[in-house]
Amino acid sequence: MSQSIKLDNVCLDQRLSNISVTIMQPGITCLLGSNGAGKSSLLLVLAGLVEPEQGQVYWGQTDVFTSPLAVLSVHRCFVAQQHSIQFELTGRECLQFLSPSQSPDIPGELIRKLDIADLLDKPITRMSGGELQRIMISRALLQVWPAIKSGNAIIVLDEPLQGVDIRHQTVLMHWLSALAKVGNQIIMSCHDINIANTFADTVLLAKAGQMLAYGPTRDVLNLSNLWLTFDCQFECLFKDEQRHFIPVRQVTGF
Amino acid sequence: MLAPASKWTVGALGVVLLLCFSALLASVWWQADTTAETRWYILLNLQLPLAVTATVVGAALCVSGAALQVVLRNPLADPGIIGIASGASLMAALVLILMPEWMVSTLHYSMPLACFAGALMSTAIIYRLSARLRGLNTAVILAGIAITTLTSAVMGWLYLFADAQSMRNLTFWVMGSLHQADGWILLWSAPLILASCFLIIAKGKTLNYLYNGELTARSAGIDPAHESKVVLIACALAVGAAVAIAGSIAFLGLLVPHYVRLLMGFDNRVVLPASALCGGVMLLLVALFSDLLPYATLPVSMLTASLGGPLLLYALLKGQFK
Repeated sequence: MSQSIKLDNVCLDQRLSNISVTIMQPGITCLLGSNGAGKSSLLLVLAGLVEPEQGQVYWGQTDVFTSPLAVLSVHRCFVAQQHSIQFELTGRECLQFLSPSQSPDIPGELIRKLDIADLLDKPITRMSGGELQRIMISRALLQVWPAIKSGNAIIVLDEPLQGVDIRHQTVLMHWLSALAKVGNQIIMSCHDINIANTFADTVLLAKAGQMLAYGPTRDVLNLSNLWLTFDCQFECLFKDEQRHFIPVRQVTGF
Repeated sequence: MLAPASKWTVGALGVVLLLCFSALLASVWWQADTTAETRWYILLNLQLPLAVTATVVGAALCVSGAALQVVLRNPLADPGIIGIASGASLMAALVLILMPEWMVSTLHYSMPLACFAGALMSTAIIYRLSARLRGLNTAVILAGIAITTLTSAVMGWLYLFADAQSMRNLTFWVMGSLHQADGWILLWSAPLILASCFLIIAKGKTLNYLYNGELTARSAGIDPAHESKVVLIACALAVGAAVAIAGSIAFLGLLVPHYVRLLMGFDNRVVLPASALCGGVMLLLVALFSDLLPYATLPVSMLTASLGGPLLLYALLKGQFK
C-alpha cells in the first residue's frame, strides 16, 4: 500500500506560494490549471526532485529532502514534460538504461499496455512525438516496476498524454486506473478536463502558483471552480449519468 | 546485466591490443645488422616505452572522449576539440619555457602536474559553460574552439620568445609524439592514466543514466552534478597525463567512441572499455606504421589527423552526428 503525500506550506521562488495539501492514497490525482499555473513545479517538488525554498514534503512519515535520492527512486518515478536525448538511442536502450538492473529484458505487460513492441528497436530520433512519449512513460514505469507490482509506487507524470493519440490515451488511462486500484499513487498533470473527470479520483486546481481547490473529482470539478481556474466558461452535459465539460465562450483577455 | 556477446567482444579487443603490443616489441627483431645486445637495449629503452605510451595515451584519449560526450551531452565532445588537451599543452609549454631546465629534468612529476592543472582549468571552463548553455550543443564546441584558439595564440607568443631548443620542444606539444616519453615520466603518468581510465570505466552504469538527461537521472536516484564532476576530474587527469607524455593528439577521442557506438550500441559498460582498448590499438598501429618507415619518425597527430579528418567529414556527410 502506497503512502500519502503531504506538502506543508511549500514555496518555490515565483512559481509556488504557500501550498499545503495532503494527497491521500491510493488513486489518480489530476492537476489542472492554465499555462504557468505551477503544475510542473508542484510535481517536481512533490516528487522530491526540486527542493522548495520553504516548507516540507512528506511521503508518509518520510521527510523527502532528507532522504537519499537512491532510496526515493525505488518507489518514485517521474516523466518530465520535455525530453532531450542527444544520442540516437533505440527505444530498448532508452528503457534499459533506466531500469535498476540495466537489463535489456522488458516486462511483457509494459510492452503490451503501452504498445511499444515496434518501437523497441527504432532510434528515438525517428519516432513521432506520441511514440517518444510512450517510450518515456514506459521508461519511468520500468524504473519502479517491482514497486508497481507490489502496489506501493508513486508515479508522477507531467502531461503524459501530450502527443499521444486517443486510442493509446484511453488504454493508458485505464491501465493507470487499474494500477491505482492495487495501491499505487498516481499524480499527473493534464489539460483535458474530461480525462480528469473520467479517470481521476481526486483533482487539484492550481492558478498563479497557488492551490485553488483539492478534493474528490465530483466535488472539485464544477462550473464555478473551472471558471475561477481557467477564466473560461464551461457547459456541463450529462450522458448516461456521466458529466462532460465543454467550453462555451472565451471570457477575458482575448 | 551485460550480454555475453559484449563481454566476448571486449575480451577479443583485449587480445588484439596484446597482439599489437607484442608486435611492436617484436619489431626490433625485424631490424637487420644489429647484435642481440643492441636489440635488447632497443627493446627495453625505446620500444617498451613506445608501446606503453601508445597504449595508455590511446586508452586515455578515447575513454575520456567517450565519457565527455555523455557528461557534456554532446556527441562531438573530444579532449582535443573542446580544448582540454590544448589547456594541458599550454601549461606544459609554460613550464618548459619559464622553469629552469634542471628543474624540469629533476622534478619528473612537474610536467604531468602542469598538464593536469591545464586540463583541469579547461575542463572547469567547459563544464561551467555547458551547465549555463544547457541545450545549446554548438555553444560547448564553440567554447572549446575559443579555448583552443586562445591557447594557440599564447603558444605563438611563446614561440616568439623561445630559443631554438625550446622551439623544438614546443613543436612536440603541438604535433604530438609517441617517442619522447622516458621511463621516469612514464612511471608518473602511466599509473595516473590507468587509475583514471579504470575509474571512468567503473562509472559506465552511472553514465548510462545520464543519457536520459539530468532530471531523469536524478529521478532514477543518481546525483548528476556530483557524478559529472567525478568523471570530468578523472578525464582531466587522464588527458593531462596523456598530454604530458605524448603531446596533443587530434581526433582520436572523437572518432573511436563514435565508431564503437555505431558498431556496439550505446551501453557505456561496453563503450568505455571498448573505446579504451580500440584507442590503444589505434596508437599501437600508428607506432608500428611509423616504425616501418625508414629514416623518419612521424608526428603522431599528423597521422591521426590524416585519418581522422576524412573520417569525420564522411560521418558528418552521412548525418551520423545529430
